Amino acid sequence: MRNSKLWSGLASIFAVILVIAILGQALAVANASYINSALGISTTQVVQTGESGDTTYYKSSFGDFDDPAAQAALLAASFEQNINEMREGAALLYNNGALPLSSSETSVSLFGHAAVDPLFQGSSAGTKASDGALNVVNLRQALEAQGFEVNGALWDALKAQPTSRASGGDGGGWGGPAPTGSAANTEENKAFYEGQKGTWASAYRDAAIVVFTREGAEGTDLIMNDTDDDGTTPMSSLALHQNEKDLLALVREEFDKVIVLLNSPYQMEVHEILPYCDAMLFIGTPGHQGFTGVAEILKGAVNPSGHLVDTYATSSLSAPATVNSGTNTPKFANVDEINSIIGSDECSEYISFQAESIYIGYRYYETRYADAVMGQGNATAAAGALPGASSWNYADEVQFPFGFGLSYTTFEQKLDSVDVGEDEITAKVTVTNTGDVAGKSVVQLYAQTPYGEYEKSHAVEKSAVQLAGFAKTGMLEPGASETVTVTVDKYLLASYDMSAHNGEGSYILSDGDYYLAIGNDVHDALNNILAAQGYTSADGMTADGDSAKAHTWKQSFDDEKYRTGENDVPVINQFEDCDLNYWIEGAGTYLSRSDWEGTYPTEQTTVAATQEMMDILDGEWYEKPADAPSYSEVAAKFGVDSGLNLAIMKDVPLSDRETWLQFIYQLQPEDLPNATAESFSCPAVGDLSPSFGVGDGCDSVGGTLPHTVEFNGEQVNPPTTRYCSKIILTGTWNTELYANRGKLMGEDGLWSGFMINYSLGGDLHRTPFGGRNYEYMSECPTMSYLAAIPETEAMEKTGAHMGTKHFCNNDQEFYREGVACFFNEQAFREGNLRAFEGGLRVAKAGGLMQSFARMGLKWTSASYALNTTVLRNEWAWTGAIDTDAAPCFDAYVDGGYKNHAAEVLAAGTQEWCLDGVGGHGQWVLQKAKDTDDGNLLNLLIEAAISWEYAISRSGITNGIDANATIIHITPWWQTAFTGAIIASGVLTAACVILLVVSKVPGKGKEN
Amino acid sequence: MKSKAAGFYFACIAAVLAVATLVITLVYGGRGGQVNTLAVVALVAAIVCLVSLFFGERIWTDFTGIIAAALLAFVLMRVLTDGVWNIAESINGIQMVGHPELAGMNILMAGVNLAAIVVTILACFTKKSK
Repeated sequence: MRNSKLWSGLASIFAVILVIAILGQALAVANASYINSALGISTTQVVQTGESGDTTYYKSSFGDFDDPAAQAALLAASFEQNINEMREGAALLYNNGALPLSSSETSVSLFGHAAVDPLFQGSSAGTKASDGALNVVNLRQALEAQGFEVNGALWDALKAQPTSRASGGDGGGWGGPAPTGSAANTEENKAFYEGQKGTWASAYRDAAIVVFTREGAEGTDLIMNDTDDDGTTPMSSLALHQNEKDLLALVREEFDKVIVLLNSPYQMEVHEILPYCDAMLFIGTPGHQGFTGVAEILKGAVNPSGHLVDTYATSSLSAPATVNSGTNTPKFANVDEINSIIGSDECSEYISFQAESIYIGYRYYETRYADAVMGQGNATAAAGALPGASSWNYADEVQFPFGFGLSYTTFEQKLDSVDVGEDEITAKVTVTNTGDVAGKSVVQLYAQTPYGEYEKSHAVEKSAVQLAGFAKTGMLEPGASETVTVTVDKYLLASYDMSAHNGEGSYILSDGDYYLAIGNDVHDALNNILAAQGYTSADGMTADGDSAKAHTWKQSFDDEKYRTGENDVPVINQFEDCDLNYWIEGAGTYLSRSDWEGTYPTEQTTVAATQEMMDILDGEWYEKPADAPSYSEVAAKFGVDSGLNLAIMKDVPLSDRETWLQFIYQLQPEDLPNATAESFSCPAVGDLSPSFGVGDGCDSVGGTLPHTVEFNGEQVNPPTTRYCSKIILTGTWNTELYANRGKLMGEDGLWSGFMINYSLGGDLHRTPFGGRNYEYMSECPTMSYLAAIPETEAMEKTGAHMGTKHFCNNDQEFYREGVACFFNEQAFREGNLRAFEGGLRVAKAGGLMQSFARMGLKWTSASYALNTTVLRNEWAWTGAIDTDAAPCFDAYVDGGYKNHAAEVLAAGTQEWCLDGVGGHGQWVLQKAKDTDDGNLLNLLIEAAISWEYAISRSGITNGIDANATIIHITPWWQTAFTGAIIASGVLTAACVILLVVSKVPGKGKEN
Repeated sequence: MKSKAAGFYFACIAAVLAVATLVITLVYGGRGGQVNTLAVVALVAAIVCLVSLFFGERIWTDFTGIIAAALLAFVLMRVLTDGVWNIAESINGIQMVGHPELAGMNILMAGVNLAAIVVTILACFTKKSK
């Protein structure tokens, strides 16, 4: 008996190990890309077999990759960029003279939970900066470096408090708080601060610096219907909560100077703060070292020159988009029926009707203001006004307009000239520093295009003012002047008219008077335009404008100039089925300035999906074309060695299709799925291209640098730098800083071995609640269009591609998986699409990542109109098209909204994000075989060309010469699993055999 | 009860832990977590195997104990496989393709299940009746 128990026990142990090893290996293989990425394992090695010469095609501008000093120079430059972004991107919103602090005001107390636990960055991809981590400068350190003395006792007490905001820094961690989007109880209560009075009773009284924050995250919007700290009183999460109000009241009573720092990427309802503070500075998220820039601004060592790229409304819920988005997103009226018919795995429950049309951000507030002044469209009606208001009044509705930002000096801007050319408009503006300290000034140029009878009768909406271009001066000493030139592409003044050309649709230039105006912000510029039109404060303007700062000219109606895109491809209606009214007549009403009162959305829009709609939601539409070649016909072309490798292909243009096909035909069809596999560690594609990593994150590419540095007594690989949030970068209005960010993040990627960095967020700040607004540039599509260009062009030069994301409609995080976004084509082309167009069409980003959302009823990745008609045809864009995260887990499941692989591929999407095993591609290949569909195989070939083309134009080609070969390496962990399986299998079998033997009478030592 | 030996009690504890795992799994599924049908079947089969140990030493009990341990190991790995994104997203404070709010349940399931495996192994080493 004793022996049988021994063998039984041992067999159970080895059996457990065997099962764990088998399933563990399967799990590990399915997630190999993450494991290899985390362990820094490459599954390929490039072997040079001939004369190499210099094969570093993409060099670092900081020196040799083997030189630690070059890496140190890169880090130093990236920190400088990080700080410069804050120096020029932090927007001073209010200052009664309290800032800068004088040389005698150096003893300060820091308040607010966010002072000690700031939001260094949003919770999503990229390097995580957190207090105490390598290279991170917190607010206290930054202030002390500027000579401030900080109330240490209060700091320590705040640190010791259990109050927890959501994660932000290191993520929730085990048992830690996950971001919820709520602001309730994220601030210390009144009793805590009352108890700390002694810490500033006799010192640290020069100023109270209060830090407020809000935190959303990937997957988490700010909550529109949050509760106050009591847990019951309803309020917006962007409104001040009671503990915050109590804190402000206390510091106002205790301190002569109160300075508020807005460490929130989301526009808080700041009107509640203003009565209690002397200065307010918007700082977004600082990344690794942005707090240094904040401290320099407070000290006066730096004169702030940042300007807002979003509107700060009095009520965060007054934006018309809030009714149908974010946490207010409604479900389809027949969601149960939908789920029962097409299955819940199709993620078809939520519908977001974009009733706001083109009126996002300032395009709503300023247009309504202009109409109120002009007495047009019932603009002053109560619909959409603040709760309880009997009429809509701009001054009540908006606290700080788009483009707003103060300085420690004053500037005078003079519109010298405007030259309206055939394709471009050139404006010259002279800026003079009329104050007594040096500073930089932003020249903001805005346009107004006609909104006449044609537009009203053809449902062409017009913003009363829109950004047209901008420039930033250099450092101007007091009294100094600089003339800057702003060039505007006339295309940006065109409107998309869905009715043009007998309903075919096209861009038009409206007939009538056009205006350009400069201004300190969008509202100031609009006032200047209104002044040029003869309006005054007597008409209800918030201030008299300056007509000398506006320029007008006439333009005739033109529906031909922008009728075609690249290569003369017609630009016509493509997204009619994304309009809810296409499916159900009269189901949705779009906001129109022709009738603000009648069209402002006050109730959620939802419908019961019809059977026809459900058929589309179901996602299955691919059919083998009648003229499709057979699988074998296409497959027969493979396996032919043409002697082509990446070093050769890097110089072959995509237009040389024959050579690219020869390159691909060196593979076997079974190699193709790896060309659809994008993940943190992408697999090799046959012997054509090696494995490599990709960067991800709009303010940091993630990854680590190769040379170790000492930190806390250990040698560690430093992470790539976390820069300021995109809102701060964009808010610098400095194209040189945009370009330098692109260059440095490109270098970060190049040093980390990344082929591409998914680093440019183009989605709109549709509402202030968007969970990832910190990653996206602006509420203004023109600003996003313009800001994307220099950053993208600079990164593309480094050898790491720019990947734009999340293309498109990823304007909300809650319910983002599969949410059916309905919109009209004008709003889409001039909004979401325009925001991406600069980075993609103009700057030619090397790749893009799509979104989880649906375009109408189709997942963005399965939209042929978006991915082929617009991207490939209208824009002639040649980059790699990647889904958003669509991992295959341990097995591809046929069906489910991300698993209609044939449809996605046929729509033009070619890689699946986080599917490091190429599961989707493998399924397509198998389907091609099963159905004898050579068309599907051809689609895989196109995907491979696209992917390899991107690789061939990247730093991955470094070290590869024309004779180089790629050898494949099995990761050590995979070998270890195999060994464990064999050993445990043998031992299990042996123990079971001995157990059986022990039970045979006379064989075992039974007792 | 006097005839029961340590193995019996280990088997009882393991069975209770396995049942607890099953209950947590069902609650987890009810909250939207991904539950693998095969894992549930394996869990039920493991419980049946463990219950078979309640009958004292029989010719099959050494084998059913081993099978129970292997099945529970299978369940453990399925729990981790199905919950890997929940856990990863919870650590990173994001919600992408998993349910990070359920990561705690994944950890709880894995922990209870692991305990069941350990106790089952102990049962395999020991006699079920005197």
